[in-house]
Amino acid sequence: MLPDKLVPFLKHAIKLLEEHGDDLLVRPDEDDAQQHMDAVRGLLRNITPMADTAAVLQCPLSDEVQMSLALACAKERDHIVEGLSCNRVLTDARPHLEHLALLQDALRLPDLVEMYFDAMKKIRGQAEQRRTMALEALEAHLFPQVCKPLNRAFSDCPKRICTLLVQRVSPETGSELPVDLPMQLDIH
Amino acid sequence: MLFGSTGAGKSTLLHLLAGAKFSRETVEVGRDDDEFGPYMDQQLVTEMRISGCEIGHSRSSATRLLSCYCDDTTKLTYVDTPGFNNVGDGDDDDTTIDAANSAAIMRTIRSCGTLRIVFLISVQDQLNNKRGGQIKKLFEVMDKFIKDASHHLPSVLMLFTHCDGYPSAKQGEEQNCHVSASLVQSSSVWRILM
Repeated sequence: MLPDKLVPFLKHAIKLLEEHGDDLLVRPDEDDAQQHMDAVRGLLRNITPMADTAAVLQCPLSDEVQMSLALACAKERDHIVEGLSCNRVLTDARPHLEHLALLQDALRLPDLVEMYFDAMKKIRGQAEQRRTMALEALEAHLFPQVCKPLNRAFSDCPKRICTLLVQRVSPETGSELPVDLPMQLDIH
Repeated sequence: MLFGSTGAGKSTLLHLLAGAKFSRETVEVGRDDDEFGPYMDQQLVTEMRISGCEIGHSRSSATRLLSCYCDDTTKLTYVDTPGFNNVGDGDDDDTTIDAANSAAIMRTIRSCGTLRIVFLISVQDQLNNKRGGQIKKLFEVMDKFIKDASHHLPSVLMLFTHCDGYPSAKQGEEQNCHVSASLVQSSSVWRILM
């Protein structure tokens, strides 16, 4: 049995075939294929476009698939919130802290420990600020904006630390690199 | 926006609209797990390459992402979509891909000022397919994306591809018999009513 909904669609197909005939048949390897494409372009230009595309659009996925996607998104969101709410967010800072330790090692600064903690404090401040921004974006469902503050929090870290170190560096004096520099920050 | 089942010729049409010239060459098509396995066949080839818009010669879709071509003459942007298999059905990989493609298509449609839909219907597949399932499936896709789809039919153009005779070259037949529009109408469209 032919679904009622399909009838207008078939009538439209037949009407198009009656009106435009062989212009609707695409034969790419024919010599006059491009001339034929001119006819197709003309047909495309002349059909009435849908104007309000946002209004006519609906999600094509079944309720079941939409439900499973919603559940997957909710789970992902919970993971992000959990990650932002604990110290895990700062594991991203680890490479930068290691970078800092290498810089300190190379430069042999005198007030190394003080500067190291000073830099870590700055990182922590940045991370707290960015984490708040990320959580706010997440709560507001502004998902593309969630990653931005987190990336920024750490991407320019080495640059800021280098600037800090260059400002303070005193090449004449040197000091030994202390052992057991903390690589973790606590944010609560 | 071009819609059609895998292999209907959406990417080929996009290339044609971009001015590509095609010729037929003998190439290996199909895969080991295809019904007939890999075999040599006459296929359409072109020198033109539109980034992200590969022309496939197998039963699986070569188009993974939406690709666009802007036509300066008509001031239209043509969007090639991946072939749909199981929109909203099942929970396998196809569904995941269709879900991702659906999101991309919806996003693209939303960003369009106006929308024209082009359905590509393979005459060969239509004749092979019992009860003209291909046309039915295309309408179902449109019905899923567009509210009150039947009210928007004036925005739909249907083009018919693979109309170079039947049976296919795969079975060693010569392809000299071109199907005309009237034959498409009688055999392809009405077949669905049988």
